[in-house]
Amino acid sequence: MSSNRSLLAIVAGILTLVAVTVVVVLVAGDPKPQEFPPDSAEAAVQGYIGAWNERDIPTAYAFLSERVRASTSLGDYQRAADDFLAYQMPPNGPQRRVSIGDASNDAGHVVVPVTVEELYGDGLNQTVNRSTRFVPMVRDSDGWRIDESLIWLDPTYIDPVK
Amino acid sequence: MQTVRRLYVYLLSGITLGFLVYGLITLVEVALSALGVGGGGIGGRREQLSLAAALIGVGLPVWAIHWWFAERGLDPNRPNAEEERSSTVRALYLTVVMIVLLSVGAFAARDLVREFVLGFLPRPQDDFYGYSSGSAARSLATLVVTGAAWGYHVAIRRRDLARGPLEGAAAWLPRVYVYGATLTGLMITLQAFGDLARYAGETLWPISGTDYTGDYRSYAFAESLSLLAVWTIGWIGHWWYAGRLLIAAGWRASSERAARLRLAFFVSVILAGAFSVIRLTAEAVRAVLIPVLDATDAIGSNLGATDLVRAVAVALVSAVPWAVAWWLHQRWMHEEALEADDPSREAVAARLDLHSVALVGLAFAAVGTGWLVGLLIDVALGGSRTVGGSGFWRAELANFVPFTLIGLGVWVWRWWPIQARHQADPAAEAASTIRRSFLLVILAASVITSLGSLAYVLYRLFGSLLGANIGGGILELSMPLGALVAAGAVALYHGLALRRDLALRAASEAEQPARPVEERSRRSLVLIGPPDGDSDAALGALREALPPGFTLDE
Repeated sequence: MSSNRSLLAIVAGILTLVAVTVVVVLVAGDPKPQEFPPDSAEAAVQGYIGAWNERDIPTAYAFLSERVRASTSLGDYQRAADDFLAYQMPPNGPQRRVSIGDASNDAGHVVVPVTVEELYGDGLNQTVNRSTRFVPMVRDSDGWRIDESLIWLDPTYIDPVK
Repeated sequence: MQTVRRLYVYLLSGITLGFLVYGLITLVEVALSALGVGGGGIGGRREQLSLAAALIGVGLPVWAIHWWFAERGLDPNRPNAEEERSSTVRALYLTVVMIVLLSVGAFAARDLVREFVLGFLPRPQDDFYGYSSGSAARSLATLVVTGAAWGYHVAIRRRDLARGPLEGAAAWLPRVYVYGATLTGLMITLQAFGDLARYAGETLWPISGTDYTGDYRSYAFAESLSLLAVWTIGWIGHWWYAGRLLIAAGWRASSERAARLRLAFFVSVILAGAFSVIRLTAEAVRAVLIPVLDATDAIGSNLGATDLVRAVAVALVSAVPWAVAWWLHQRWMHEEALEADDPSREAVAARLDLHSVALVGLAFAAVGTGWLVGLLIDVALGGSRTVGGSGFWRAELANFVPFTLIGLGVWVWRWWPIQARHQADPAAEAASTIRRSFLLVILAASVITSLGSLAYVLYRLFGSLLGANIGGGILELSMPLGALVAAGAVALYHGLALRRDLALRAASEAEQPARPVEERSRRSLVLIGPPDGDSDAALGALREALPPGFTLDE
């Protein structure tokens, strides 16, 4: 193949890639919710994150374990959540998407890996920051619950209001 | 021995000059504050005076003694004066001192101008973004003292140059200062212009739903305007000086015209210009694509028509001075190459121009392509199994489609003539150091990217096989795979080009006849004599004095 023909082939290939990617992304639409068995640890984490996405803090609070709820009242949790929502969630914070992995047993504790992707900046400065967090789970009387004091997915010490 | 002595003398001169300059700045600052100039914000003047006296008391005598030693070496009556004047250590010393003094002085000038501009604007809170009122006396003192010290060292350098030709490091090291200052000044000027365009845009078309304070706007505007004012002077002053050297009498003009650093300066501006024009144009296209692709959710604000107009206008207006700088420096480089005594200079300039812009275009196209491939993998292989993230893919698409398309366009625009040159004269292009460097730089960058991405993909693969608890899944793999595909393709394409060039060079060398033995020992000499001298007689005398086997041809 002559050098000019190979150059034209590269241009055609990249233009095709751009067109295909645009079409695929537009057709695929937004990410679809993951599907988990209703009584699974993964479903509990999904319910918790879904409640946060809806800004439904009491529902999110209900996904925490009895032990965590005993140490933090709903009022304190709501206050901490309001602070977080003001600065850390879109539209003020970076855009995020979350993927829930399969639960596993880590040294006797059930953990659910949650991968968070955060989109920062724009143009050349745009980066996707990925981090995987392992959410500890416990089976309470009312099903699988998150056994850690979390504000969204950040472990947080919530100072009770005196 | 002389080098060790010089290292000692100039190192001590430099360190003690620092003591002296700092002491003088403190002294002048106290004096200005006492006179009520610059806000008079200094507390504890006695402590400041004590510090100044101590620094000057230590710095001045030690600097004076060492600098006197350094300068004494240049006394025309001393046997090693020429060696001292053309020494690398002296050139390095003058270069470093001028760079440091210019930088410190420019910072002080910026602070001073910013203070002046802020006087006409709504006053920011004290210590806003590190700003503190009452620093004008310090800035003025720094500017005066560093300006005087810089002027003195410039005069010393000019005196050294006036005494005769300088070659090697003695010539190019101070040239690093001249072109480095010109380049820095130009870059900061253009960047500050872009920032001012942004503030103007934000004023004309306010940002929807933001809470930018007047403090932020005043400070940022004053900062950019002061940078623009100070570095425009710095840039034009140094560029004017470099231009004057080109038309100077004697050896300096020819030395400057042939300087590789001057060529490197042009190439640096072309690279920076191409980079910024592509980046800013991509920003404008991105602003249009975000609403078109319905990616407004992902960027976290509800864009209005004014946001769109502002984003496009600011990006394009900011790109214009970069484009002008790119075009002008490209033109000047070609014009100077055409006027050069060396006929190969024009080919060198053309290659540098084409390859540097192609490199920038390729970098953008490769980054964009890598992201798009990663995005495609993400969508196709399970990245859709997520919670939340509305418009996430569309935002990435809006970002990286412009990079890909504009980068590709620029790369093809420059790579096409490179290919045409290669087809017209394959041997000459294959032998070009510029082309080889271009291919090797791309090969190195793409191989490093490929290896990094491959290592990450294998880490995830082995982790899954060994049951390691590393989470992630396809989300963690899509972008490394995209980078691997794009970098691998770039490496393959340019690696093959490099291989073809190597084969061409080998064939070309094999075709060249062996040089005759006598040519290897051929030397060209220049005979210089008095105006009324008999050069024929001198040549005859030289021929008679030649050892057996030697000839002297005209």
